[in-house]
Amino acid sequence: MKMDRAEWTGTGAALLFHIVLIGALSLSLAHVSSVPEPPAMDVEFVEDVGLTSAAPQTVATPPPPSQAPEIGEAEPVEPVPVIQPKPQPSIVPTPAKPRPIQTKPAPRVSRIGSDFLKGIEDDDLAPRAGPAKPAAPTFSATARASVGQAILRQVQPCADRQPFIGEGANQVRLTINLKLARNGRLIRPPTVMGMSGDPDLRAKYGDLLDDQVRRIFADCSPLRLPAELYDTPNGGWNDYTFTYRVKG
Amino acid sequence: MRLILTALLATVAGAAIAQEVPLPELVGGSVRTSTAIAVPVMPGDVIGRQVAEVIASDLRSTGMFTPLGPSGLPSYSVEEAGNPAYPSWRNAGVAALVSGYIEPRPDGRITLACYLHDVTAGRELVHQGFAVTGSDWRRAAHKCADLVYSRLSGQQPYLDTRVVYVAETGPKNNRQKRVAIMDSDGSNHRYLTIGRNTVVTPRFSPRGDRLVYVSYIGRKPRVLLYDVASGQERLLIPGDHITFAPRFSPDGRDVVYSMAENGNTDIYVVSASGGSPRRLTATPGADTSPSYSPDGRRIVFESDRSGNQQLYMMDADGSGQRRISFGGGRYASPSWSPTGNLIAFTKIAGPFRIGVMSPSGGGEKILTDGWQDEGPSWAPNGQFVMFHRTPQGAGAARLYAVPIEGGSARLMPTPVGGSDPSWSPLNN
Repeated sequence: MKMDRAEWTGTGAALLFHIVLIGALSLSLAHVSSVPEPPAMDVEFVEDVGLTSAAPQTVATPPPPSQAPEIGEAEPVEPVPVIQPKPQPSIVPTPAKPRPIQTKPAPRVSRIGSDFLKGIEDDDLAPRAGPAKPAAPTFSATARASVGQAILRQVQPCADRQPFIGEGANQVRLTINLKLARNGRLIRPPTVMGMSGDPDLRAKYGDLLDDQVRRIFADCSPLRLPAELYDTPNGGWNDYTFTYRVKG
Repeated sequence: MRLILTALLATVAGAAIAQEVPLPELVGGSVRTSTAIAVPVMPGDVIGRQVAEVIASDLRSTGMFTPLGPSGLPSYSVEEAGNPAYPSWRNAGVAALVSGYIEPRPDGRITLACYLHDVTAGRELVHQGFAVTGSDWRRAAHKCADLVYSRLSGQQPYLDTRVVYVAETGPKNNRQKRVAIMDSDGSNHRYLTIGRNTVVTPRFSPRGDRLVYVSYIGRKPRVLLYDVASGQERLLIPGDHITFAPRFSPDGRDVVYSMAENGNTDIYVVSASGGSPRRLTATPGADTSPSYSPDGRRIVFESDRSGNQQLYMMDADGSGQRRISFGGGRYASPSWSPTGNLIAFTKIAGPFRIGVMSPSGGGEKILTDGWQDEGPSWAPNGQFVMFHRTPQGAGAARLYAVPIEGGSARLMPTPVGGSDPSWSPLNN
């Protein structure tokens, strides 16, 4: 097959676009300041909270002899062993509360409306076999936007309660990743993937903003999201990333 | 071929669109409210209740927290200090919990183990232990409160500090003024001078081990150096000179001060260990109240060379003098913040008010609204300014502290009236 002049031009243009795009994406990614993933917490996030403790059992051994330095020096204090652990569902022990469903029209035309959760009970969110097999759902840009709106809408009441941190905290923005189970609970605490803003302000307020995000999702989860979009061939809300900042 | 081209172009377009789609953004509230924090009695020793009371009082004084307890809160065991029952504390309506225990040590001292928990998220935020002698348990409690404050505010600690000030007693026409020192919560108060001579403007050295202050000896103001541990004092400048408004350099080696000679008041600097003074200003008028920048490279001071009191800046060697205050009214008693980004001052425009501005003179912000507020001194973390307030009419001046980010001024607990406070650096 021989290509004509127009086809050669088209192919050349497409290749040129690819090179420019790869370069631009590389430069853009190079500017993302990332922070190392925090170490694993002691708090275990579980999908099913029962009446028995899900907290890690610590060994009931006597505490090591205290070796505190003179005052002013930091003395590490070993965590005190638990002799009689009490039932402690680590996070999200409260039952899901009914949430107001907003019927405000979505800014974009979507196959999944902003009220796609209306009238759906928790149990309905689990995928189930149906008599007719519809077309496989895809996590399109529109679906992603709708899920994003649903997540933000559900946690916004808890975000609104967060206290003022300090001057300049509003100039720091965290990129947060959520790993979610099918029932809308967090598999692990929200993880800071990146942070932008003035380096001094990041050092000063980064941990405090991270604390806020953890509190928000501890207090306002599990999330109620469309089950069919949990994990599709091109993504899903099982792995969701968003940004967090505080008002000025 | 057309198929390949179409696919390539679709990929390019798709990637471009994907790049343009921004991540959803969650915006937190920034509610100006204090955080409810539980401070129950600490187990392990009979002083556990007093320790918790000091911690709660310290946290309340920051203006950031509403402490609950120790009274009215359930007790817990030593074992539970590091592993509390979060749901129970959540039900108590608190967002954070300070727990800990007190443990005797083989050397006769005690260890205060201090834990901070995020009750909402159900996790420990920080823990640390402090070993002190039994009589020094308040210090350990202040350290614990500092740990909590720092972790929840992102600011440097400042609660384990001391304050020197001029304690004022007696009637207005025969007032006795003595240098007094106390912990920043008002405890461990004692007098350092006996009141034979009137004293003003005591200032801590950067390490908190010495003071400089002015004593009216033979009715002449003279700068004295005072060693806090030994109580020994000596004249900074031997002879018969009128010296006042002293302040240490950031490295503690020098003292900058004002000296009046031949009807003119200029700023000088001299080694704290003695030697010949070096003159930094030589302009007609009164140059006084010098205060170093934290890096020691510049000095802000007050001068009436333009006709009334204004703030001026110069390099540490006296060069490059320039005015930085241009607002209405007069400006006095500047004090450079430990963080370097602000200068506190007394603004005189009718009433006396405490304000802050940037070292370039911009961003002026008035912090207080009293009738006569003056003599600002910074907390070591640069987040609070202490000053003295004289009420209109009768009444003694009292010490207050105000947060620079806004909020009401808090009365400092002093047994008598007070003026000219100086906040110490953080205790070692």
